[in-house]
Amino acid sequence: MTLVSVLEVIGIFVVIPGAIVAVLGLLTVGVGHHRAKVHYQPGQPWEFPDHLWAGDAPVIATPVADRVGTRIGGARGTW
Amino acid sequence: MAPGDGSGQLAVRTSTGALARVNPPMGPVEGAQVLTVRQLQDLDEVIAEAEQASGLRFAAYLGDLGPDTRSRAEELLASLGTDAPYTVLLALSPAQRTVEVATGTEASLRISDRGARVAVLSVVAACGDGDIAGALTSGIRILADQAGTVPDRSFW
Repeated sequence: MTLVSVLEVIGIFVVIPGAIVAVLGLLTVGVGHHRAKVHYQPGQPWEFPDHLWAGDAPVIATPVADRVGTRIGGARGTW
Repeated sequence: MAPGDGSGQLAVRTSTGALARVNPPMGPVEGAQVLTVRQLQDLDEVIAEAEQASGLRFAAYLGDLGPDTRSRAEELLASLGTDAPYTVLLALSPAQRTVEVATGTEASLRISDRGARVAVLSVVAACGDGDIAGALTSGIRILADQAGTVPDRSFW
């Protein structure tokens, strides 16, 4: 039976887990912090790329022969 | 999910079966982001919930709409290919201070122009405060509310 010193116990159960937590914490909090936050105020020029989001959930599509809609609807507004 | 070709740009299948590029590309875009990750997640969830409940397809556009905002919005709607008749597009151009709602030919039977104006009012109110993300999410929520729930999904 080998004897384990107090320092070895502390090293295995405190220092090593602590180092792992510190590395993960640094990766979580530190990385990406350099990215400047963008605050858009109304009236500022818009200098961002165009974005399009479209959901991919399956739609309930009517067969072409059963379609009755003929016009594109909608509305517009300004501020 | 629309089929991709590995380049990160998504494509939609047209009625002839050919793959067509969506312009602008759907999904993440390089460059400065005006919405935070959390806001993007919220928008994703709102779009997914709206589609599950209504059975329509919802799309949101944020960017320039060109000189003729209406025709650009209808162009974006048409770029969704075979789903376009069932798609509701909320297009927001902060630079032009304009919002356009375009409903496909079948979707317009579910969402009246008056219902679309309700969503536009909400978007305008949010944009007046500079809340772009809130404008998109609340606009889509209202449009989904106007579309109603598909009967066989009402118990979900």
